[in-house]
Amino acid sequence: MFMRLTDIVGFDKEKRSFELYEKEKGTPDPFGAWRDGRAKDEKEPPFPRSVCEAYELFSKEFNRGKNGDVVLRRFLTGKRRASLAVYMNGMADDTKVNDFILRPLMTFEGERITLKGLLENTIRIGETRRVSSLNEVFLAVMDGMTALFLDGESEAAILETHGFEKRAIGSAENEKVVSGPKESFTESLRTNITLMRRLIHEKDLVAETGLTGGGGNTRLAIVYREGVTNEALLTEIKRRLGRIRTGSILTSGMLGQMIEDDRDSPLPQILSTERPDRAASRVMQGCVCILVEGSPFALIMPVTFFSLMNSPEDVYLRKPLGTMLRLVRYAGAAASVLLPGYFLSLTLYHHGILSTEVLSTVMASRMMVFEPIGVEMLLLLFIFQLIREAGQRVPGNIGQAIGIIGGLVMGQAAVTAHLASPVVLIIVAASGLGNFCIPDYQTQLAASYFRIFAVIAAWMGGLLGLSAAVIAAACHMAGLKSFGVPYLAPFAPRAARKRPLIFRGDIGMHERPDDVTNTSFDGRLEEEE
Amino acid sequence: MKLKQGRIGFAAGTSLAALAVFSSEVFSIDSKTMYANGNASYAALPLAVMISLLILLPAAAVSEGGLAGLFADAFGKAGGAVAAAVVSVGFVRAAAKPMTGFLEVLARLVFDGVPYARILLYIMPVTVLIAWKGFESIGRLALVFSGLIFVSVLIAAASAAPEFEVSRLYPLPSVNADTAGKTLSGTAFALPPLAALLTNEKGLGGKRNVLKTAAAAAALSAVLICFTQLALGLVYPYGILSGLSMPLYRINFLSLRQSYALRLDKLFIMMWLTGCVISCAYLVYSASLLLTVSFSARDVTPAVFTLSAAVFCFATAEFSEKYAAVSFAESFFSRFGALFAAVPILLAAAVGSIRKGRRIPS
Repeated sequence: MFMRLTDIVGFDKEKRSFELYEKEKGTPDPFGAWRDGRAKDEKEPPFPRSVCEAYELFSKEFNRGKNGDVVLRRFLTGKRRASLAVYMNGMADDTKVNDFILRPLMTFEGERITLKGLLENTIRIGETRRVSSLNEVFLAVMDGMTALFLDGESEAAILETHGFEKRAIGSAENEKVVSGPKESFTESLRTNITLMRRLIHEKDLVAETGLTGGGGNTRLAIVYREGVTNEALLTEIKRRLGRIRTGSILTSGMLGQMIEDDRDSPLPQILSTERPDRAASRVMQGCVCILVEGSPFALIMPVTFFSLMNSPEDVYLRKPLGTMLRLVRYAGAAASVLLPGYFLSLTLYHHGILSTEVLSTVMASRMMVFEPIGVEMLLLLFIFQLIREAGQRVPGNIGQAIGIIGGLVMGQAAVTAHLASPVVLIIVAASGLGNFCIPDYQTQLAASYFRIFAVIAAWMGGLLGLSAAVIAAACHMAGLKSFGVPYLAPFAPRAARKRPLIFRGDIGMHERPDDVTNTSFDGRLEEEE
Repeated sequence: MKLKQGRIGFAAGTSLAALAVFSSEVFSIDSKTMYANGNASYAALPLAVMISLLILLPAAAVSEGGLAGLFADAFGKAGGAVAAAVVSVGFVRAAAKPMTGFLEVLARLVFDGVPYARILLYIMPVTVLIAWKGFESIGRLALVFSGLIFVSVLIAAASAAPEFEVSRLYPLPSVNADTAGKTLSGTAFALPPLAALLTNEKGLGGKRNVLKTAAAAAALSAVLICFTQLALGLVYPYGILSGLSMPLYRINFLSLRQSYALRLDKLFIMMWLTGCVISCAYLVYSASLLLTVSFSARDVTPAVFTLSAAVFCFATAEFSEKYAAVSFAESFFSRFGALFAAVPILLAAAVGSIRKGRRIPS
């Protein structure tokens, strides 16, 4: 009975943890498991030997009677060999299929017709491959490729005919910079990989494409630098991807949650960015980037707290300006989290710290406010969150208008109605501004909710309660890891670094990868020498 | 096994041990006893730290598998478990003592008249959380906060410089029974944080790292303790010091009077309390690990919760003067507290070195 209980609560079972600084024991699942995209025990139908058989099979598998967009085109190659082209209408480019596949095959005049020969001499498509697995054929067709079957062949040809509509590359909306590249990722995986390749001119850049494990629908690409990125890190990422078992369509946000170390933590352990320059910069440092089909965000891993606090703009500006920006950002973040709680604890418990003038100003401003100051603070913080959420959901310029209406009109009205005092309003507004200084959206949200927790703690126990809340948060961060890299590295634990932590270093100092990712960059240099 | 040892480096280990030694020495001293006949604390307390290090060195030299392994080798499995239990009492006592000092100051000077237990109810959950998270988190947390804490101590001590007067150091310390007594008393609190490093040998990456970390932490904390106590001695004559609880906190009032929203005394005490919480969690975790390994248990969690409850009881019991048993225990620990950690460790080191000496020829 006791043993059963301990099993249920997981008592004395150590949580599996991956440490990047150490080699993990055991061999991980091979990458091929997720490349295939099917569960290992799923049976694959036998490969059709004739075109008729293939036609029947595809009609059945794709429900052709109901599905109008599946095209099964039967024709004769060289006017004598039965052939079948399979593609998705809308996903594949009709012009490519007609002009570079069907026309050359139908007008083929050679004597010997083989799949290999046709691919070599007749079909005018850049990317082609021969496959003997039906699952691969299905996936390729669904992805916008064209599958070509020849009667009697034991293989099919997969021809690159992507041609679906996609959004053009736009400017980054959530990570704006004043001086720096403006373009952002789109929903197209191929475009996003291209954007990365345009920035990283290294022959060691690899973009492995595949599907999430266990028959998932999500196509993704792992982008990294072969020989620079830590192999253990890469293996661990592939292992986690291979373990995903879901039938849902995954976006980058969902995928990130499924592979990060601590899903219950409010803090992100993966950097989600819409900027190709930011992603490329991290990949150059030895990090791994995951691009997901249908998501205009790249996932970067591993991250540390300090990398989440950096903005691409820091390095685009001159060193003193970049350093000042960072200092203002850290001060803003600290004010965002601590200012309301600190103010509350001073006014409620430690009046002695405040001078008579300050204290009398606070008291005078609260003269007609009927609710306790703790309630007033929480109410204003709640309204602030409300305005923020509403501003994000409402489209375009109306969102900005809501921010102005919420900030000015409601604030003024709340003071006039004696719902809030001007001093508390200023504290909440300053804290809110500080919150927007945090560059990463998820960290912003985590900080804004921790602020409410800190206010409650300060309301209950003054500086003692606030200290307890801060220590608890710091303890959580100290124990957190992002793909084996401690969250507070390179500060705690100390890791050798070639550039300053908060102050921005020289641009020349950015040549080497970060030490926290434990890259094999140095070793590679030695080999080259 | 869920021992939550993790792995920390030299910087984190040194910060942690130095913070714990500093908290134990500076915030644990009984002013009445320490400054009764003069002020020798600036020499006696650093000396106590060095004596603690000397006690630890032979133990670390012969230990295999940390303190638990040392006890098991020296006294056998059952005897080792008993020795571990005795040392754990010393650890818990060392964890609770600075907490008591803070409780007193917080209840008297910060939250006027609030019951001790209520204040402790804010501190203990965080302490338990940190101890439960394990050695790696504790070490990293110490690394995050130790710099701030040490700087705040230096600012507090240095800001009183205008009030320094050398004549207040009179009478000068001499090697007499009083100084020796203070040193021994100081050893009671300096030894557990250093010995806890040996308990966490695996987390520190081996015996060699333990020795290196202990030496660095002892040196760092001895310098800081000497500086702090010297500053206190230069500000207050020993007669006044003997009547002050936590004089380091009082020193703030000399220089930071009449300042506004950034008056630092409250912030400083919260900062030092943070250091005390971390060192308390460190000692609780180390004692829990020692007991868990010695009694061949597989999870450190039950011991962490039990010993945290013990710390809570120790810290609050000291203010319950109506119970004679508490007063007796307090005076007993004041006199013989050092022996709880020192005697088993020294004995085990002696037995271990004899056995090791025998083993070498064979």
